[in-house]
Amino acid sequence: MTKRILIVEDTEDNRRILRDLLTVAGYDLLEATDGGSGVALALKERPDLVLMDIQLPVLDGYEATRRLKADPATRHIPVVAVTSYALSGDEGKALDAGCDGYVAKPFSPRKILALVREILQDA
Amino acid sequence: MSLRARLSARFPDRLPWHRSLFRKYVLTLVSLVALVLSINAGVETWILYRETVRSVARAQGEYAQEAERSVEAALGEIERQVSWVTRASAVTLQQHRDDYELLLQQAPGVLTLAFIDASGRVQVRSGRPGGAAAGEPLPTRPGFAKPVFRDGRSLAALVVSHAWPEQAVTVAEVGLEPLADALPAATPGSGSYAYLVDTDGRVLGRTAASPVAVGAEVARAEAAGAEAGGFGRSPDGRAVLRTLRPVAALPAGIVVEQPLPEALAPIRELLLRLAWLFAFGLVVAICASLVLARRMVVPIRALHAGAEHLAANRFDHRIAIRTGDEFEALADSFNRMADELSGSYGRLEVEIEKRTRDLARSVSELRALEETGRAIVGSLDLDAVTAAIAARASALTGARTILVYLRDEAGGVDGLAAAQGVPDAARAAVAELALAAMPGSDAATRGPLAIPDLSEAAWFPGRAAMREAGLSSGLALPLSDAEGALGLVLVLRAEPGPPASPDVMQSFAHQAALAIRNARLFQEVDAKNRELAAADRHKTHFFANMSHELRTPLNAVLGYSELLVDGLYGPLSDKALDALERIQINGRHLLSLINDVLDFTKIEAGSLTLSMQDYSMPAMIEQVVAAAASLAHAKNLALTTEVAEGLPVGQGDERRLTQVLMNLVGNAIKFTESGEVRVAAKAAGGWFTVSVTDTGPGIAAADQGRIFDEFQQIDSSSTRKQGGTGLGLSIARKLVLLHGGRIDVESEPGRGAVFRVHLPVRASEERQAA
Repeated sequence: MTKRILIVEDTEDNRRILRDLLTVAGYDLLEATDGGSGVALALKERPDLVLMDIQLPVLDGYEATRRLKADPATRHIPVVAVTSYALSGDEGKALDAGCDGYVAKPFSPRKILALVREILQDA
Repeated sequence: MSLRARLSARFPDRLPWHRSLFRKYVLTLVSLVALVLSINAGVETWILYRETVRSVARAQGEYAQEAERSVEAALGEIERQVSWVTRASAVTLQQHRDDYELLLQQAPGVLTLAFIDASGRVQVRSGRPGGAAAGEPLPTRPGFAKPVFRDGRSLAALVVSHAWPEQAVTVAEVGLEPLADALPAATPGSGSYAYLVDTDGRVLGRTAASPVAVGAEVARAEAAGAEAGGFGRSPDGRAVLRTLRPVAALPAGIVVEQPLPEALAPIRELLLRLAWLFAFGLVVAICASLVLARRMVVPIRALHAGAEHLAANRFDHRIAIRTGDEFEALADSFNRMADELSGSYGRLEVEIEKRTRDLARSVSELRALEETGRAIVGSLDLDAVTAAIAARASALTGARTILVYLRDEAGGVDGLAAAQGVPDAARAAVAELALAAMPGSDAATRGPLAIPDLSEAAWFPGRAAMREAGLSSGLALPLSDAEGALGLVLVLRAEPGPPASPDVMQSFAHQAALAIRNARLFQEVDAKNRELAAADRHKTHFFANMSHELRTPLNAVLGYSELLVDGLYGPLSDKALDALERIQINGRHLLSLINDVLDFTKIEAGSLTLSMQDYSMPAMIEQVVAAAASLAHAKNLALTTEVAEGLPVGQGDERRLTQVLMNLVGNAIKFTESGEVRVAAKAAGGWFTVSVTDTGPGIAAADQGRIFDEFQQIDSSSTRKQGGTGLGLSIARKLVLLHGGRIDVESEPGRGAVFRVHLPVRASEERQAA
């Protein structure tokens, strides 16, 4: 069964890069452009992985992650922060919020793909 | 009780007896008298002694002369008897024999008679029993021969010459008994005696008092020489004065002796007399010296006691001496001095008391002032300062009503900053007074305005209202400093008169002004600091935001490029791929610029924290070299490492340290056109030393200090040529500093450069903070 990845990202270009990359790689994609709808979509669709931007409208990535990790229904879903907050300590903050991984922007699509495959054990 | 004790009791004194003037007086006088008396006695005794000895000698000599005459008379009588046999009529031997027999019958004192002719032969010899035996040698020299003793009798041979035949002599042996009493009985001086002694020491005659008997033998042949008035020993061993006189007619001498005690009796009497005189003189001297000394010492003691009283500040004591001499004058001087001292001492005491009071007041004022200073300078909050000024002014002056006005610097408007104890009824009047006293623009010339008594301040319209409110006096203290007027303190009291000394109030005003000025300055500085902090926060926020905003589009650029290169959107021509690679390179460069700016901003803002963890230096170097290998390879540079064996495990922020090494290695590769870049690491004494050596153009000494500054590259042309923000080294240096280490460079133009990082093996949070 095809794995589904939820992208929560408010920037169209970044969303598209991930979409192009991961669709070609054979994943199904779900997309949300703010934290609130991201959480709602995750609850509804139960994706296999969430790639979470941090600076988001409505609900930021930290809070969205916290909510996902607080809900027993979504707690098991891995969340990888993909963010422009690349300052020292930002990774710690993301991990503290419950993220399982952290990728700073600008990211390398190859590395993202490798990380996604590793997490979903699709090597 | 001894004399000393009695004297001490009689003349009590602080000084011990043996040091007192009294003793000195007495001893000196008595010694003087004793000395004079002793000399007198000695001289007198000596004279009398000489006189006595001489007179004894003279008397003895006279007696001896007379005694000799008596002895010679006795001898002459004997000789006259014997001479009868030498009459000229007898010429035959028979006649001589007959004459001898006759003489023997008539003169019992004659023992034997012998006739000796000119040839020395004995022609006739007659004698009675007991006489000398025939055949004994006979003297022929006319006169008495040396006496001999036989059968207890003293005898002597007497030779008398015959007229005819010539040279014939008769030798008679005669007894010398007549000599026994021949000495005159009247010997000179009491106890004296005399005796006649022959040259063998046999006593021939004596006076009655003589201790020797006739016929006794005395040890010495006194008759041998003459002596007048000499000292000697009597036959019975007593000391005597004696005179010796030889007798001409007989080998014998007269000895006159007087025992010394009798001879020197006058001297003994004299000595006794002198002793009495001495004792009397001494007693008189002691009495006189006691009286004299007392007359001297008693006034001196009185003076002494007076001086002691003076020394003990008892000026009411007066010395009573009525001797009418210099002592009395001295005592009068002392008394006058005591009068004057008493007067000046009294004045001095009054003065000291006054001074002490003043001093105590000054001290308490100073203490209050000092507390004031502490209280009002202790705070930098303007409200607290004015409140403290009001409180301390109240404490200092005892006034209940205090008002502190501050001049607003901006508008020159005076405002009430603190007030306490202001009666409602007097508010308007107080404000009026404050207005009148507030220092103007020429504050420096404006002194305090004192109203010791409000009832007399006719110029002040509000005085009635204030007096009704129970206020009697006021003091307006302008607060100002060199920069101008700051405000006013108003002190209003219920009591009339000045609240404290003007100096104290002036000091208080200075302190208050200083405190207000400080508080205002602090307020300004505080406000500026707040602004600066806000600006800083804004800057940091701005940079962080900008970083985020820059990264987002950069992500799209790099992301699309990579997808394109990876052929995700279909195959591309080589030219397109080449262009995409340039896009990627420039995009990554832009990213590194953004990262540098961001790091720098964070470090400057002090918000960069190190995350300390254990790291392996060899692994770190390996990672850096691996990352830089492609860069070096692209420029055909050798990139080598020289890592010492067994380096200890380090502690620090691995990511940041990697960044530092990356920067150094990247720079080395960037600036080196040919040759090699070598990374070396070693450890010693708890420090890592990591060096990055290149064979590039090197750095001039003048530039070596600058290259660690922000935005500095060696020159702008190299910036253009090599790219970069010029922040890399500055960031590297700051990161190393944050680890407690340092970084330095050693280089010469044309000879490459060596950058060395000295890093504590175990960097700590404390060191980072420092």
